[in-house]
Amino acid sequence: MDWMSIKEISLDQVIFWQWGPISLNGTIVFTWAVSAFMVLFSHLITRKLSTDVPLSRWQNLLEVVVEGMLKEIREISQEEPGSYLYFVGTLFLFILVSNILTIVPGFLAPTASLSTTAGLAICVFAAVPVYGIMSRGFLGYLRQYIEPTLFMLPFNIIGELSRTLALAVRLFGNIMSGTKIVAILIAIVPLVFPVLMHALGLLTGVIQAYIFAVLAMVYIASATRAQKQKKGRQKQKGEHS
Amino acid sequence: MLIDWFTVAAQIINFLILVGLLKHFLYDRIIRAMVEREGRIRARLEEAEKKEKESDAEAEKYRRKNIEIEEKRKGILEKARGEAENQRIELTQKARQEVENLRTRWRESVQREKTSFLRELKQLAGHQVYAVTRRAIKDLADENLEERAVHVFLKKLENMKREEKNKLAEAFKKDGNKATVRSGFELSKSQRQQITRTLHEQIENDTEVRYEMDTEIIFGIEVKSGGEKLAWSLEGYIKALEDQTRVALEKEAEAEDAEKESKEITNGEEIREEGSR
Repeated sequence: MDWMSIKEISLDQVIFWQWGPISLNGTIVFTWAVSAFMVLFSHLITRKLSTDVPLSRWQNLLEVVVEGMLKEIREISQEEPGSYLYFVGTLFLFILVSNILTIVPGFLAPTASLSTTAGLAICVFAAVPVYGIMSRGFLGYLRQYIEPTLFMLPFNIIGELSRTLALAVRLFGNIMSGTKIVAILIAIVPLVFPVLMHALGLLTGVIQAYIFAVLAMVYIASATRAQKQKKGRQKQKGEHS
Repeated sequence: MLIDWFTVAAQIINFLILVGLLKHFLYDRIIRAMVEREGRIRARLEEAEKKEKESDAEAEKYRRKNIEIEEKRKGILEKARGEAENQRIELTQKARQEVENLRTRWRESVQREKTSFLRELKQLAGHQVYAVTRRAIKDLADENLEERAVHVFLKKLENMKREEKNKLAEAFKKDGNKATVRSGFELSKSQRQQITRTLHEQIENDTEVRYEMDTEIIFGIEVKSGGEKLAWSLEGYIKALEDQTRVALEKEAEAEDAEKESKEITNGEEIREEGSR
């Protein structure tokens, strides 16, 4: 069973250039490609925006996307999107574009690499306390780990870590498997059927982008909102007494 | 090993850079554009609302103006109707007045005709009476009627009262001792002498007497001076005849007038009815 090497499972092993510990592998190169594409595309459209009606089709597309994300964030966090949009929105768009571009022949999605998904999951793992501390203060944020009792501290920490791991592995597994299934099917049935699987892969990719972003938002929101709910509860108590 | 930690670090950095780039090139620009457009649209809507309110106010104003004009129109119409009614009444009155004037004029002309007819009749009757009387007197008494007239005139002179004579004498003097005797027929020389003599005897001695013939007098003699006058003529008799004739004519004219008036009243009513229609 040597037909699927580790090289084929991870894009990290496709190395273009190496200098000591620094290696320019496929993951990084394709990430750059996706980033450049997104930035260039955005710049081309947004450099001459219309602030009145009518507006161009492309501008309309971007506005629909941004407005949709704002709406989604507003619904989940129950507050104004503010700076959440930059972080969560970029997560969503990066994963979405990476996954959709897999239909381009020769392109390999960077999200199919566990390194990329781990990196993104670490970003979320770091963003949760950052947003939490920004909204509740340092002690306020730490206190949520010992709630409802001190006994819950280890479970809270384990939960925090495990969900980050789950985030990384879920995305990696889905995208990687999608790519690999197509590769395997091409070996078995060369025509038509792989196309259907590819289409399914696209759908999975879009759904995964949405899930990743929504989960990130939920984690951040839970870190910032717990405090507010508590405050609300205290207020209610005060009113009752 | 599926995870290459260097790649993980690089991906984290890549992601953070992408966040920054997209913030600058995508989110901020798009959100700014949307906010600006929203603002513009809101401003436009507000302006539209304002304009709508303005136009509503304008419409209300015009509606009110229309009502005002309608009222004014009604007022003018009412006034015109009143004026027309007044005019009609005035015109009717004028017409009636004109009819009245015409009737008056007609009456006057009838009166004039009557008068002239009477004058002619008087003259004619006088002449006829004179002619008939002269012939009758001549035939019956075989005496000249004119001589009888002179005789009567002279008798009248003689029978005058003293005051009257004095009055006449003063009138003669005032006129520079001149007197005029007018007769309806030619007086003979002896008759003239007789009259002159009688005047001298009875009134004033030095009076210069002039003789004139005037057919207007018809038959008779009169002496005139300084506004005083002594006369005897057929005039008195003719006057009686004239009076009687006039009475007869007037009676006839009144009867005619009464008939005409009744006719005019019915005409006037017809005119009024037509006007009110």
